[in-house]
Amino acid sequence: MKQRFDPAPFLPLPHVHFEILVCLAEHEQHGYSIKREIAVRTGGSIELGPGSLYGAIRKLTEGGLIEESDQRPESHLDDERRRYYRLTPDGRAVLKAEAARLRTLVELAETRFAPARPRRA
Amino acid sequence: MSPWLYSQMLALYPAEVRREYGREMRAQFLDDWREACRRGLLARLLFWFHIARDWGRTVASAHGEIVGGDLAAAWGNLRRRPWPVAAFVLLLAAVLSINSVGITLANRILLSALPFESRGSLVFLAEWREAGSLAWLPVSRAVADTLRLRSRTLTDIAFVGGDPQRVFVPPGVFDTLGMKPAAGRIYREDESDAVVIGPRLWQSRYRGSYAAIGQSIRLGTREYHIVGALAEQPFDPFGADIWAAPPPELAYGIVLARLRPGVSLQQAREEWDALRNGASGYWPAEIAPLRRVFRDPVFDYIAWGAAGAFFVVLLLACVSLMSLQLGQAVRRQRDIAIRLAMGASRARIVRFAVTETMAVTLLAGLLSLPSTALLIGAFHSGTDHWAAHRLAGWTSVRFDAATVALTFALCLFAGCLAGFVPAWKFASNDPWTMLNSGPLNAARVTGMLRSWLLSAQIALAGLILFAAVAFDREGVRRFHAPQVRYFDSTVSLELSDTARPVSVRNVVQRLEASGHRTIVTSARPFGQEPMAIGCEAGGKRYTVQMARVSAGFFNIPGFQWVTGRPWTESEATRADLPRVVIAEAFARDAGLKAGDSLVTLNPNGRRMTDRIAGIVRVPRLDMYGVWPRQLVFVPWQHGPLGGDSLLVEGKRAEVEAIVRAADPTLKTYVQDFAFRIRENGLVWIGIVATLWAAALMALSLALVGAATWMSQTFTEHGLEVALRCATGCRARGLWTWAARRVWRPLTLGAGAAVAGSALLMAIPSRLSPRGVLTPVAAGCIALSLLAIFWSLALWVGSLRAMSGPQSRRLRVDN
Repeated sequence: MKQRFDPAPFLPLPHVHFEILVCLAEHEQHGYSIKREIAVRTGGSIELGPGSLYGAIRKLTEGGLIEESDQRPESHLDDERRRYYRLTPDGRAVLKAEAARLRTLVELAETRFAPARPRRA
Repeated sequence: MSPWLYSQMLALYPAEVRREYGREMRAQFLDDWREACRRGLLARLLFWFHIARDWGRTVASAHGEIVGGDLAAAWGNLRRRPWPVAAFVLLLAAVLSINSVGITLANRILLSALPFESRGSLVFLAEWREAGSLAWLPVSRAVADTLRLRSRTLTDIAFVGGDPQRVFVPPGVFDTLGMKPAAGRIYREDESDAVVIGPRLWQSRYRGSYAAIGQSIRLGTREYHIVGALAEQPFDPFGADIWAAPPPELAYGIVLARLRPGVSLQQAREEWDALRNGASGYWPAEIAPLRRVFRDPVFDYIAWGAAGAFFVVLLLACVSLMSLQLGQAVRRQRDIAIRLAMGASRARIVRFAVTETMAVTLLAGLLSLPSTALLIGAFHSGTDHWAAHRLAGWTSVRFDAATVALTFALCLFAGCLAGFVPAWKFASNDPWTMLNSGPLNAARVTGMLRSWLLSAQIALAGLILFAAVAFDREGVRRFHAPQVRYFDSTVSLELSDTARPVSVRNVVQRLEASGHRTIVTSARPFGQEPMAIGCEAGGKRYTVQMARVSAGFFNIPGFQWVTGRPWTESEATRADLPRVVIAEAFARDAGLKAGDSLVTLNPNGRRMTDRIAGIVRVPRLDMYGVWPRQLVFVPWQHGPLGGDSLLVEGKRAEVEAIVRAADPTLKTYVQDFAFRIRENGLVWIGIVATLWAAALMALSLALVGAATWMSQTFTEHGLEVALRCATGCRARGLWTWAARRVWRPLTLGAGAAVAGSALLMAIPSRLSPRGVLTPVAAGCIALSLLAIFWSLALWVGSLRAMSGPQSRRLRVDN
């Protein structure tokens, strides 16, 4: 019987890895489109160079969080130089766990920063 | 251009990253680059800045991850056999430590540029002494003036006079030598009563206080005032206590100069020869580099010899490490084969092996640093401070960042060499062959490499052992040579220059009457340096050393007459008889024979013609053989002794008592040669001890090699050994079986050791063993030691194999 996957060793996920997993959560993408989407989403604050992008992709692939997809788009949309990547079930589990972790942190921060409620007389 | 440049930059990523993602990275770069080009120049510049930053960071991190992984794997491997690895690391640390010290000494004293050489090499007019050492040659002021006027190769020419306590130096020389006062200032040319004091006087009399400046100091009848004080200098060729401006009446002194830019030493020498030969007189001097002053060539030989011996031991350590790695690789051949079969490149396998050996050598390097610092510190504390400071470059010998860098460079060298060869050999094999071959077929994948490594170990260890035994035996032989024993039973008696001839005659008569044979000589090692002088023979000019000796000098053991005979006491004063004796080596160089004329040339232009009475083969009278080749003996005629010595057979106390009784007012200096022999013997013991230390390390490393070879052989042939044991084969039988397998590489190694030893003996030096007997005996002893050592190691290995689990089980089953 297959053992249940535990995402805990992957957490906390490096920010770039998290961004890549978020990109792939919706649909399969190639490296360059991942880079473009991250740049657009972060307003240009994260501009991944080829070394950083494919370094991160290599680590995520080795960790089994993403994998190469054998499905290609229509031939007129396809770029032969690119490979497409998709999220694995383990990757999805890690993404969810990381999102939950971040959510908890955000909630905690919001609780601390929230203005004190006035006392009832 | 930019895409091409990025393609080249990609080459620095690890091969697996390149193979997997290189195409996509290049594609992304092209798309981004096109976009940047559309935006303009600034965008392109920013793009490249971004790319360079990304590239630098990711290349370093990719390699760091691989090295980290390899190091973790290497650490795991090393931990499996902690004791052998720990012993080897400690041994390697000792080897690295002595190598760092040896190379630092040789480099800083013999090779590195000195501070005063930054504007060009400094040279001086030198006199060759003691078969190669150099000393200042005093010349007349006219020589310095001629050089100043006519030299086109020399600049900053300075004329320096004085004695060891007080030196007359033009102020410019301080700048030439790169010396600056620690307190006060340098005197001016016209300040005749101002002096600068040296570091020894400043420390001993004034305790390094600034209050010394302005104080008066009396020298003889004259009073000077101190204007400056020198601190310890990196190089102080004069070692004087008092430095003053040269007085106008200074007639004789030494010449110091700097080579003009672009001028070679040879050009300066040729110019000096032309000037000297054009003059009426003959100055027996040569232009020589200042850094060689006071440095005996024996020092060069010892420094290079020690550095060479240590380096051979380092090579031996590398070979032993290679052997260990090869054994490791044999054990892991399935792992390596699987990696290769899965697509790992040969470079990746080599890189992993090199990382593993580098881990061992770097650990040894770290451990070696404290002992290196201690050894260099011991050199400084164990040498005479003031004498050592006159040796150019000595003060720069210290434990510093450069020494640490050198140690790690040696680690890098050893790690790369030891890791590369076995890994390359293994990675060259077909992975499927390796997967199919078990330990029994390990010889198929290692090929001849294991035999070669064994031969190299024997050759290198044999060479070092030979050097240690040969120099040890040669030292003993020299120590007990008849002429050195004579030297041991003799004292030298120097009389003051003011001693009247009648006093000298009186002393000699008294000594002879009480049975002490007395000889007058200026020859080393009994007297001062023989005088250097020019002479003409066969139409050529030579610089020779002329020793004044009385006739009895040739009775010292060891002189062999090639032809002719010495003069007698009665003939010494007759001008019509041949009375010059020359050394055989000089006779051969100049093509002279007994009865030929010899013309001597004085600096003042005076020529004297003499006839050669005999040619003699000169013995080496002290342990180091300090006779120059071009040596001429002339008779000492009765008169004041001057710089000559009286050589008296007998004990120091008796001689002193007789001289005191003969003339209580006579000032004498009696030197006991036994003390000097002991001193020389100590230096020799130092050389031999260094070589034996290297030999001990070599033997220990050879033990590592033997143990590795036996462990591999008995593992590979475990079944065969077990079967032999089960069928009644004893340890002796196993020993014969193992010896048969190893005799070829051992014989080859021994042959290489003999060839290397012969080459070592061919290096010309007056320290090398002379004759044939000592080297042959040393070779036999070294080879016998290695043979005994290996036989014992094989015996222990055979006993262990007999008691191995496989052998025991087979015996029980039987």
